Parts: sequence; structure tokens; C-alpha cells
Amino acid sequence: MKKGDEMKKVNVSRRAFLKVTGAAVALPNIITSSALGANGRPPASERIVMAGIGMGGQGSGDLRQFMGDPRIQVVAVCDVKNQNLERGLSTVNAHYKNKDCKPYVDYREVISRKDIDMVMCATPDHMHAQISIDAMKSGKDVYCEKPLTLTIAEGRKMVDTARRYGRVLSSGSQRVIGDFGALACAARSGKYGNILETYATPGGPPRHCYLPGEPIPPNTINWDLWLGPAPMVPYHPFRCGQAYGLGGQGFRSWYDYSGGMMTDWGGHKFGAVLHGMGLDHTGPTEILPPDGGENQYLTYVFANGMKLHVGGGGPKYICEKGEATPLREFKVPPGLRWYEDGANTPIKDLVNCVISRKRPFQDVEYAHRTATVCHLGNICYSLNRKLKWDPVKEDFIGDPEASRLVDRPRRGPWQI
Amino acid sequence: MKKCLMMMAVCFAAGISCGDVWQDLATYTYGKGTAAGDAEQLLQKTPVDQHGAIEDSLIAVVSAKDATQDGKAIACRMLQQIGTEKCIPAVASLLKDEVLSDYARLVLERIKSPTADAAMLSALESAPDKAKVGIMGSLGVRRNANAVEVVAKLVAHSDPAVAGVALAALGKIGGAPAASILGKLKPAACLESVYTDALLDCGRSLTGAPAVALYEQVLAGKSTQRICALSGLLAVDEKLAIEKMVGFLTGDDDQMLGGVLTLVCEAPSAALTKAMTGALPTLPDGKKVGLLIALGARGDKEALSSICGCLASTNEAVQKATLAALGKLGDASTVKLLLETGGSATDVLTKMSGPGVDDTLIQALSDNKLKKAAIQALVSRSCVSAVPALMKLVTDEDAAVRKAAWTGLGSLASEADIAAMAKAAFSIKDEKEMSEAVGMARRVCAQATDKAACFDAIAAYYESTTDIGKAAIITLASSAGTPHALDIVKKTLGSANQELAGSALRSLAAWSNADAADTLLEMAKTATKGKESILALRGYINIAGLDNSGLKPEQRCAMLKTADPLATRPEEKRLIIGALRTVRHADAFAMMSAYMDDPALREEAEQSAVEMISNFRKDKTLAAEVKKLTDKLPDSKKADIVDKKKQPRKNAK
Repeated sequence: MKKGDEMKKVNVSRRAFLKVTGAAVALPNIITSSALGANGRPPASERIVMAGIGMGGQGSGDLRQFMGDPRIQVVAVCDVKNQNLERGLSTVNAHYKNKDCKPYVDYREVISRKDIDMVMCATPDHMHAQISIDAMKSGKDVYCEKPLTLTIAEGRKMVDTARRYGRVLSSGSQRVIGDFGALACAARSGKYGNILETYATPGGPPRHCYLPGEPIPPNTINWDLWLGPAPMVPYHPFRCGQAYGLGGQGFRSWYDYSGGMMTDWGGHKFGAVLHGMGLDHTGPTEILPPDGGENQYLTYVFANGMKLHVGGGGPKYICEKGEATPLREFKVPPGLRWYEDGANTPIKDLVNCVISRKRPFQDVEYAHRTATVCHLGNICYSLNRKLKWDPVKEDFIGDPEASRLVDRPRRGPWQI
Repeated sequence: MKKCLMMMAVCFAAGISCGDVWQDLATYTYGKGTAAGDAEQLLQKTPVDQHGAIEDSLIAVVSAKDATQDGKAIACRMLQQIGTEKCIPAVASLLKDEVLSDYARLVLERIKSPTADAAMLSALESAPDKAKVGIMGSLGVRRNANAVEVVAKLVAHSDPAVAGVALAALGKIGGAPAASILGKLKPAACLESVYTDALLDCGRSLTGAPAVALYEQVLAGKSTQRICALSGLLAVDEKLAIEKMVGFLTGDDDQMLGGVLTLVCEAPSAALTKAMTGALPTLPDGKKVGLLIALGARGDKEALSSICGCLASTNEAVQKATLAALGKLGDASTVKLLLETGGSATDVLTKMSGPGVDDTLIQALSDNKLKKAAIQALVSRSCVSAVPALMKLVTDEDAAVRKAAWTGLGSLASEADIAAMAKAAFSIKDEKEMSEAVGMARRVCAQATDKAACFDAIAAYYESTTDIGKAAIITLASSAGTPHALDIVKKTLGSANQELAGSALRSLAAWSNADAADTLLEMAKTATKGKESILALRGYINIAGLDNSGLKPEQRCAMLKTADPLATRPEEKRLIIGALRTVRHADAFAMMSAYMDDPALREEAEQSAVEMISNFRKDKTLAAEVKKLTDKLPDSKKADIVDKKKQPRKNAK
């Protein structure tokens, strides 16, 4: 093949080339300098085109981070709440100083767009699996905010879909490494000996919502779409509110839409200790409820004997030679997973991996395992009895009632 | 009767009026009354072996003709957890209700019983469309093969929403009958994507030719779902799938190229590794980069030799991708090869975690061509077992190697190695090299727990070494802070070598405890050279400012009072102000207040006063002083104190 022929061929598939070679390594001899955009930014045809779904506070913040990456071009925003949608739209258009971004209420219209490579999902928890799976089936890579799921079975389906459809999915706790990574490094440094047990307090479980129905204020929300696969119930602003915490004024308070603070902060703290313990690819074998005696806290026991206690603030690592504290000299010990290719946030890491096709630090499997620990805790709190868990089959052992809670039937026509 | 009594006991324990709970639930409406919460609480507090009685009550609610929709819905939610075979008829009666059908499925979809399947199947045809989609979804989840025929009729439904769910359900149910039906369908354009997913789902339930046929059908199209077909094909016909993957890798289909690389990262297949490594040398550089990254992520060491072959590439991007892949796959066998590539491989060598890597690197220290790169890698890997080998290299013929070895020791050695390091360092003839070597020993001492012992090990060479060596020793004295160290420093202060004497004074000024205070004060008062006097005074103030010097607050305060008249320049006054911030004494507050009156020092004094107040605001013995000093602060500074108390809550998510 002549040199010219090769360049011609390369130019035809420039976007694919960029995705497989671009950010992970420099691109000498592949793309001419004249093809590059201003200020070193890739030209529009070579950027990763993405959409933001769920434009509440977290979604808007995430999207701003994405837009700060020159390799990203946001072309669409989506939210079932009009106010959020308008805010998201103006954020994107203000960033690019144009009016090119398209607003959508129904995410299914977004993922049907062929020009979109990746979506960010920052909706309430009960929509994460639905949107992520539908998006991956439509050929999109996904950034899914934590907690990854509402149920354990959803997580396994997300992993399965990502693998089958060859998609990259990263969950979104910046704290696992950002806040708690140095402690994990210390715990795994060898200085403190082997890790024996850990402590982490994420917060409480959700409860059922019995709020009365209220008329839906005109032009505010598409209630049916907001509920998605969750059971049909009358509208109340506090069901779908964005207030943080378990105060009963936001979706995180309610069982149908969230795992409560257990999954919300569990995504950070449990994610951190599972990472530090090197157990983020598996799960516990026993979950013990607090009993007011020896078990002061809800406790997870892992096959290797390590324990995770849901209490004591944390994350804390109790090792053979005492409690680990961050070391003066920061060094990632061999064998401890970490961001790669210069990434320092889950968002940068995902963008790198969308290009290189590698698994990100918060790959769907790890995010699922973290969310599973959170869900197991909620189920244990709810049933208030010792549970045995098979982390391979991902089912409870000898407890049919608990097994019922591994998944929840979805309202028609929603299926994953 | 026994059950009833037990239930009453549970109700009593939960503080609920037992008799009313289920009646109230039957008339419940969201937001009105507490029946839903009471019932939920009752269930939670009831032992598992008594759930049968609760199930009976819930069945009664679900079956009651006059029960409210909300009451029935909540009863279904609870039956989702505890319902058994006996609740199925009652719950199934709700399947044709447009709203309650979804609630009924909450129960039926999760009960492991063929009766539940039969109930949903029998309701399907006559249920309203809205309920049909839900029921079909559940039949799909349960992979009910008996449902194929009935569901298949609905793929031609006039409502695309119903037809789409029917297609998806058929795919999920899978098996040969479903495959046969799906294979013959020609769905409307709006259902093409759903149809393709159904083919892919169905393919998973099959093996051999029927599965291959479905995957081939998808691969013949243009959809992004072809990646999924390829991964499915890999499971049932590896050879064919790999042929296609190589074809996509070398072809022009952009969409599939990324997908193939993802599968290379993920799919477990020895044949795939072989095929990809076979294709690697034939690819243009751009694709080679992508495949190298994927092979690295794949983690199959069988690819190692092919990847190593790419190190010879002249293309920088290929080289980088090769190194990145070796960082993932490399082991002891690739260490030498990587060392030969020079410093660019250090990062890769740092990340390699396989067994024997450290040992191989240590062995490479005896290879003249590789030893420098090996030292660099060992240091990056924090390999402390390399210390003995590095000690041998400090006498290497090559000055660059000696320097690298000393640098490595500075990072890796511990206080147990100090004596040996000192012996080697002070035997060096070249003064510059000796100074650098002692510097590395100093670096180890700085990290040591027993700083006094470290100092003693090095100070043993004080008398026999040159002035440059002495100066190096002196710099360690302040952190050791022992009487022996102080003696040596005092002795050196009188050296005829002015530079060495200056080093001694600087060391004294940085003393880590109060032992040097008297000497420093004396020098501050009597030194003939202004520079020495200032340095001594600064050291004296510094000791007074130390929180952990062992001095009592009144002693520290007295020292600062003594320093005040000696401090003739604003620079030293500012040092005193800074030192006062941590002195827990009323006189310290008075001094700070006085400095606030000095226009030249006011800004610094006010700032330090804010910190001083923050430090001692909870000390009741200083309450009056804290208040007085606070009152003296301008409002803008007072606001700083308030801000410190009310730290904004971080964005929790």
C-alpha cells in the first residue's frame, strides 16, 4: 500500500481511529496537524458526541466536567422535569456559546440518535439500569451516576449488557480514589500487615412512601416517564423531589426510587473499602444485622474472613498492626487498581476508556458489586435476620423471602 | 387460634391495634391514615414462621370487592415478599385491571411456581393492552416456554408498543420454537432495533447452527448490535467469529472496529488471542496501536512475545502502546527487554506485579548496560530488598552508576542501613561526591524514627572527615537535637572556617527543642556580626514558637518577651507575632494586642489574632482575653472567626 493510500484510508475512518488511538497515545503520522481543531482540541468530527440524561444538580455538575474535556461535544440534554431541562440546556449552550444543543423529555429519543456516542445518566436511581441498558443496546457508552442500581438483579443485567454489546460503562464516585484512595494505598502498603476488618457508615435505608396524591402542576413534569418502571402511584412533589438525605422531601427517601443513603453514600464508602480490601469483584457471604450485643453494627463477612462493619464513620481499615492512616509518601501499591492513562477523575477515566475500549476504574462490574453490598445491607435491615449470600450465583442461600428482594418486577412496558 | 394469639402479641409489641390493621388497609387511600405503614411495620416485626397468617389477611384485602385500589396495591407489595402458592388466585384476579395488573405482577413474577405462569398466561389474551405489555414482560423474565404461542400472536399487534414487548418477550423466552418464529418475521421499521435485540436474546438460549443463524442474520445488517452478535457467535462458533473479527479488524467498518477491540479486551478465548497476535504485525500503525492496547487489557500472557515484537517499531505511538501493554502483561521474562529500551520503560516496570520482577531487576544490577535503568525501576517500585545490592554499587567504576546507587539508597534504605551508608560515604575521596552521598544518608535520617541514633552513626566520622563532611554532619544535628549533637555544633561554631561555622549557626537556629535556646540568646545579644545576631535571634524565637518543645506556656511567653526588645526589625517582630498564636497564656494575648496597635505590624497581628482566638476560644481560663482581643478586631476579621466555625457542608453526592 502506498503512503497516500494509507492516509486516505485513515481519513475515511478518522473517528474510529481517534477512538482507538487518540487519547491513550499521541497520534504521530496518523492525523495531520491541519486536521486538528483550534487550541489542540480535536475537530468536531473527531470528538466524542454525548448527551446528558438527568439534568438535576448532580447531572448538571457532571456535564460541566464532561464539557471541560476538549474531546467531548455535548449535543443533547434530557430531563422529564421542565425546569431541569431548561437549566441543562442553557448550561450547555452557554458553554459552547451557541444554541446547538437539543432538549429532550424522553431519553429514548436521545438514544435513538445515531450521532451520539455516549450518554451520561444522572437521573434518580430507579432509572439508572433502564436508561443505561437501553443506551448500551443502542451502541452508546455510558457514564452512570452512583448508585448504579435499584436492585441487585439490575446490576447483573447491566454488566451482562455491557459485555455482550461491547460497551464501556463507568459509574461515578469520585471519592473512592479522590477522598479515600490514599487510605486504601496505606492499608495495602504492607506497613500495617494484612487488613482484618473495615468500617464505613454510609447512612440509612429508604422507606415506603405513603404521601397523598396531588394534582401535577402544569408544564412541570412528565410523571409517567419519571416513574418509569416503578409502580404507578399518585404524584406528590416530595416523591420526585431532589432534596438530599432521608428527610422525606426527595426521591432518596423512598424505596421505589432509591436505596436511600445506604446506596447513595455506600457508592462512595463501601466502594472505597471494597477497593481497598481488593474485594470489589466479589461480595460477602454473610450479612449480620445489628443485634445490640456482639454485633453492634450491621456486618458483612467475606469468604476470606475480612469483615465490613456499617458504622464507625470510616472508611477505616483495621489491620494486623493497627488502624491504617495515610502515609506521608503517596504511592499506589502493586495490585491495587487505580485510574490509568493520566486520569484523575471517573469522568476523565471514562473518556480515556471510551477511546481505548479498556475497562474503566469504575467499570460496571465493580460498580455493581459495590451497589450489591449496599442492597444486601438494606435487605438485611428490612428482614432483620442473618442472611447467607452466594456472591457467584448472586442469590441468597436458604431464604426464599430474601431471594424475592434480589429483583423487582417492572411496570409495563418497561423491561431490561 | 394459636396463630391469632401470636399475631395479637406481635401487634401489641409493635404498638398497633391488630384487629384494625387489615380492615384499615382494605379502605386505605394514599395519605389518609396510617394503615399502610402499620401493616408494613407489622410484617417486619412478625417472625417468618407466622407470615402465613399475614398472607391470609392480605389475600382477604386483595379479594375484597369493596377494598380500595391503594389498599390492594399495598397488599400486593407485601405479598411480593411473603406470598405463596395460595395467594396466586386472588392476585391473578387483578391481572386484567389496568392499574393493579402491574401490582399483581409484583407478586406473580417473583413466585417460583408454574401456577403463577399459568395465571399470567391465561390472563394475557383477554387483558387490556396496557396490562398485556406488563404480563408479557413477566413471561419473558420467567422464560415461560408455554407462552411462545400466545405471545407470538401479539407480535403482529396494531399497537407497536404491544408488538415490541411481544418481540422482546419472545427473545427472552428463547428456545427453538421462539427462534423459528423470530427468524421468519419481518418487523416494521420502528421495531427493527427491538427485533434485533430479540434475535440476540434468543440466540443466547441456543447452541450450534440455530444460534449461528440468528447471529448471522444480525451480522448481515448494519446495526450497532452486530457487536453483540459477534460476541454471541464467539460463544457458539469460535472459529467463524474469529474469522469475522479479523475481517472487521482489517476492514473499513469503523463501527465494528471499536467493537472488535472491546471484545479483544473482554472475550475469553485462547484462539482469539492467537488470531489477534497473528494479525498484529500486518496492521497499519494506527490499528496496531488500538490492538496493542486491547491485548494489554485482555491480560493473556500468550500475547506477550508478539507484543514484545512491536517494541522495535519506529512509530512512537506504537512504541508507547507496546510499553503500555507490557505494563499489563509483562513479567520477569520481559524485564530485561524493557530495561534495554531505557528510561521510557521505567513506568511500565514500576507497574508490573508478577512474581520475580524485583529479583530480575536486582540481578540486572550486575549488568553494566542495564544497571542504571534497573536502579531507576527498583526505586520506583520501592524495592527495599535491593538495598544490599545498591550498597555494592556505591563503589562502581561508573560515576553515574554510583550517583544513581546513592540516590536509590536515599529512597530505599532505612535507619538500619545508616551506619553502612555513613562508612561508605565518608570513605569517598571526592568531596562533592562525598557531600552528595552524605546528603542521601541525611535523607534516610530525616525519615528515621530514632534520629539520635542516626546522627550518632554519622557523627562518628566528625573528627576524621573534612570540613565539607563536617558541614554535612552538622546539618543533621538540629533534627537529632541530642546533647551530643549540641556539643558538636557548639564546637563547630568556633571553627576558623567561616562557612562551616555558619553552617553550625544555621543548624543551631533550626534546633528542634529548647536545649539550644540559651546559646542562641547569648549569640543574639553578643554576636559581633549583625547577620549572626539576627540568625541567632530568629532561632531563639523559633524555639519559643514550638508547640512540642516541652516548654511551658509561661516559659515560651517569657522567651518571646525577652526577644521583643532584641528584635529591632519588623521581620523578627513578625516572627514573634507568629509564635504567639499558639501560646496559651494571658500575657501572650496582651503582647498580641500591643502589636495590633503598631501600624507597621497591625495587618499581621490581626491575622494572627484571629488564629489565636480560634485556637483558644474554648479555653475558659482565657475567656476574658479572648473576648478582649476579639473586641479589638475589626468586623471584617471577626467574620473570619465566624466562618471558621461554620464550615459549609460539602456537596454530599
